[in-house]
Amino acid sequence: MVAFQKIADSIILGNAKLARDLTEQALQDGLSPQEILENGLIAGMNVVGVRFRKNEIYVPEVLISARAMKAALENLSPMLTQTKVKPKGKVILGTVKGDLHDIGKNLVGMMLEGAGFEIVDLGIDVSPEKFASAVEQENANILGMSALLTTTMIGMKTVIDTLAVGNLRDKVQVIVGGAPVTQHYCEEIGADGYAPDSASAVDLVKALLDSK
Amino acid sequence: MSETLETVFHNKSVEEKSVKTVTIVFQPEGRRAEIAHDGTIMEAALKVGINIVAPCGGTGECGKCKVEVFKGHIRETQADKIWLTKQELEKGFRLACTAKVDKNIVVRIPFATRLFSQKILTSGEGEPVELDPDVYKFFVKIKPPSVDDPRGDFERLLDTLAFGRSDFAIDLDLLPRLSMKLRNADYSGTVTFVGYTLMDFQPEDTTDRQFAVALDVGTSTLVGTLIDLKAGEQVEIASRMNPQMSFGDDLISRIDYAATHKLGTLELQRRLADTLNELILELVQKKKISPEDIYEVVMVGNTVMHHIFLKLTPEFLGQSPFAPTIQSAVRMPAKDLGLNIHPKGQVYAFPNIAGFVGGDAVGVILSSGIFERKGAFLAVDIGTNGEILLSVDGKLLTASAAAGPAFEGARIFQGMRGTTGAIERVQIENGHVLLEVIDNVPPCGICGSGLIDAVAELRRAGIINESGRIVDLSAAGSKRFPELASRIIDHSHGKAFVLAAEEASGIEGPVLLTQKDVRELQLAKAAIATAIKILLKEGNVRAEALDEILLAGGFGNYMDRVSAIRIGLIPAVPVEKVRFIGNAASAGAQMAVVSRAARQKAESIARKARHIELSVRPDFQEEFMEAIFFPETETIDV
Repeated sequence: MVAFQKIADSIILGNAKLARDLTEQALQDGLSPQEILENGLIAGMNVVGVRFRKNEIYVPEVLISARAMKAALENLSPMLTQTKVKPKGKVILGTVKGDLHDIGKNLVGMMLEGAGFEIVDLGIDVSPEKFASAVEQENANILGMSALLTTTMIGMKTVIDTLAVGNLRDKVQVIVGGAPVTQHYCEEIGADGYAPDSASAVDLVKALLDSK
Repeated sequence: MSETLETVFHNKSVEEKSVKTVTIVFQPEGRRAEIAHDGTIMEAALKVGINIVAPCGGTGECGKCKVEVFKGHIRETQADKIWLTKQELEKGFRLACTAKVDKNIVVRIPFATRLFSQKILTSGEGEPVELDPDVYKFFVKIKPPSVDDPRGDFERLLDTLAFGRSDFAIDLDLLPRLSMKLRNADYSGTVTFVGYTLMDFQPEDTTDRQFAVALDVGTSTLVGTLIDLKAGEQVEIASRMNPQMSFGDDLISRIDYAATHKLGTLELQRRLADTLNELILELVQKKKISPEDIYEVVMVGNTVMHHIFLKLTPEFLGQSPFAPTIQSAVRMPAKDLGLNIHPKGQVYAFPNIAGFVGGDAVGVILSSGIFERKGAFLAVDIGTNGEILLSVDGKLLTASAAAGPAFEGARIFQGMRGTTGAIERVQIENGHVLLEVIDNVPPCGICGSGLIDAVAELRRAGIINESGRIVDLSAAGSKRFPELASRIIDHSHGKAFVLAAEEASGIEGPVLLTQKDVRELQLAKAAIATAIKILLKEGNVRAEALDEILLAGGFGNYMDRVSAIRIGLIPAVPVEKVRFIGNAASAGAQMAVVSRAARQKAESIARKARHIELSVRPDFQEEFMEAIFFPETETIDV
């Protein structure tokens, strides 16, 4: 029997092959995809998140772990869809207009996915209109925006304004992140939350949904 | 007697027919030669003492005696068609030895064609460049005006030089002073042309004082090279830190500053110009000349530096789709940019390829000559903003990689630039750590080449694993090399490896390589490696099929090739295929200083190169994640 801890460790170590093999084996052992995800992959990614926040590890390791998680998820995803696990919530993500930097945004996406959320990733260079129409159609709980540059960060406010104009602002909670973004900026533009890193983003999303 | 007379008469008529002559004016010295109709340019040149190279003896068999007929037309000969390119033929180039002259013409003799000419080779790579700068000085003695000859002073001067073109201009500040200057100097002195504009008249012969500066404006470092335009030689070199470093060490921070501060671009430009003036001053002081002896500054730099240098806002380079204000080469007065050279001095800024691949990359392509060679060549300029250039049989692909400043020692715990006290080489042998330190003093920190070496060697020793983690040797149960195991310590940045213990170091405390340093290096090298991988994919070239990998940039030269391969910075090719080409961007600028033809090539490179924007590639992130790992390597047993 594969121990969940072993799966978690393979994620923490970022060993993609091991993570995939262990997941496969766990499935053969009859463990449910849901258990493997929760107690193995997500548990591992949580440790990564905590260590990252404590500066014990750095971006490359988070990426390496995320890559291992992705590999393991490839085994699980089809079955998770079959068993129709109810997602904890739905999050729209995108990098604002003019900005093509998406490593941070993708990390957030992976962490959230790992934590059991459904992700609608609009990709990079997303126009305010595209954000707005996704909010209108997807019936999501959260809209997350990312920017790497101060020059593109101002696009976040445009998105919030566009939502307001379309009477969509109340449909969704808006969170922001990215290198130049601060809590202060988040409040200034009237967003609902800011997270400095991908692990905190998961906590933020959970907290916002709980408070509703 | 009558027969004799008749013969004489007959001969005379023949002579009259053949005596029909044509005039050839040679530039730039303005010498005139009269030769018989259908004589060759070569004959005419010899007649007035201009020596043209003719290794084949003037038989049309070597193609070396190229000259440019820029006024009048000469028929193309068979030899012309063999030796000259289509463009050269269209521009009026002919071989002097076979060109039969049947009407008056004006000919310019390129320096390469002159027997005395000196071929200059700027730092190693590329073809020798013929000396043909945009700045020309001539010492002239002009016939003063008289009642019989009341031509204007400007025309008088041009006629003396006999350029044979009508499109010369005179600088508008010089114009009101010209008459007085000529008269005060008894119509004898030195004229300076920049392009086709008369810029200056100086009494006396000052032709040995014509200089230009090639500037390489890097994100972190500024390098200036003083070039003697008469000799076509690099004479002095100086460098400075880019003062914009205090606004942030990468390009994005400069863009942010310019975009978010009132007059931000101008402030960044002013700081840059101030430091460039210091640098220029150092150059002229070393050479014991005056800033006024510098007539031109040729600038290469990445597109952001280029924009700031020219007072253009870099704001839009920071947002997709990264369109620059201008891609073409820019020429403007140096004083408008606040540069202290000759008051009429000019700036020539290299053309750009894309938002993050600028004139510096054009310079590398130009000076390395990769676009003119058959085969697959990869040139990598490693810097804060790395440029990756691939030429496959002259087809050019470019990409940029935001490597960050780790290679320059920034964001590294005890990182420093490659100056006194920096560890520049690390080797592990039989469990001992051997260091090479710049200037042989106790080590104070580690520079980029030392960092790459350290990680490569620790990787080889199994102390750093494939994912980049520093492994605790004693925990792993290895007892063979206790010295190495004892060097692994706990540190606030994760584990650390002691490169130099406190007692051996030149600072308070030991010199360390921390876990975080390894992580920073991983990000930097992954950025470069990913760009290389995608470019090779796009160019349809396998790494093994590369003919050469050329490493450019000040830093590239100090890097150990084996270490670079071992950490996966560059593809694993046989090490002899990896070659250093020095500061190739600066070499490109130097070529453009001395050669107008090189400028044309630069402009053509910038137009033809195809830029691959990595960040919009769907495979970028996946490749980047893979590239963070270190390649499998043979390990020494520890």
